[in-house]
Amino acid sequence: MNTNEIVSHLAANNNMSKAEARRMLDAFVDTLTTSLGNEQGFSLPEIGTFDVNTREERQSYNPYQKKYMILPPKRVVRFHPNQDLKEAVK
Amino acid sequence: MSKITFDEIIESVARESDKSKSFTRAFLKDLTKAIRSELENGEKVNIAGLGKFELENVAEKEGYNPQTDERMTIPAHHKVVFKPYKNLRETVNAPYAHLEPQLIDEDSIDSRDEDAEEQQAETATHPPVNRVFNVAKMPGRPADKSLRNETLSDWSLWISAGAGVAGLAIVAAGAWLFFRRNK
Repeated sequence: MNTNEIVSHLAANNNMSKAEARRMLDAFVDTLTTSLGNEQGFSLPEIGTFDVNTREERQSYNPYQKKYMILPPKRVVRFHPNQDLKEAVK
Repeated sequence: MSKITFDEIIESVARESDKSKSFTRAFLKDLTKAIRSELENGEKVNIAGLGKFELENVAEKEGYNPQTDERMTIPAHHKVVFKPYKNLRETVNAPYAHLEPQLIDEDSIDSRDEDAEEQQAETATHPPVNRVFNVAKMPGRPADKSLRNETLSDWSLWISAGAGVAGLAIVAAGAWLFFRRNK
């Protein structure tokens, strides 16, 4: 399902125009992005939890250039599906 | 790490889109239900600007129960993965975005390693801090992890150094043979 299909589905279910549904979906995406950007996790009902994890710096080797390098630390989004969603998709 | 509640998300979305809270709650519940039912039907879900949810195959593998030491086979199954899109990845990594990989030569690898060992001997109670990137003052950086992480990275360092030396030896032998034949 892509974003357009989600928007149509939501618009039909909630008696609203597609443009309105799209605006609300964008507000939702915006809220989640800001929250994760501030290193704040959250959980969504029926789906699972999201949080931010910090990856330490690490050493790496490029076999083509035959060079060693140190990769900087970085932050990534981590998603844990709900226990019953996990069971359901098994 | 702090968390925000679903109610706070509802409030923020309601404020941004000028809708009532109860309407927003119904809307978001609908959205999460749609995502879930789609995943249960084995479909993937793209949400523009955020990321996509999809199912991944996990092959059957041997596992064991660490409490009873009992061996068992974990059957092949599907799992849900979330892949964030570029916008979200970059927003989350913003504090570290200016950092680039740094090239180092093999000599400095050895010295880094020795430094780590010396520090370990000096401060047995504290894990050695031997970082190239100074991120200690960056916001949200967790305190240094246990000693285990450091020894692990030392191991990988030795292994990669060993692999490098072995590779060089093979290349040298090949070159020698090549020149001998061409004489």
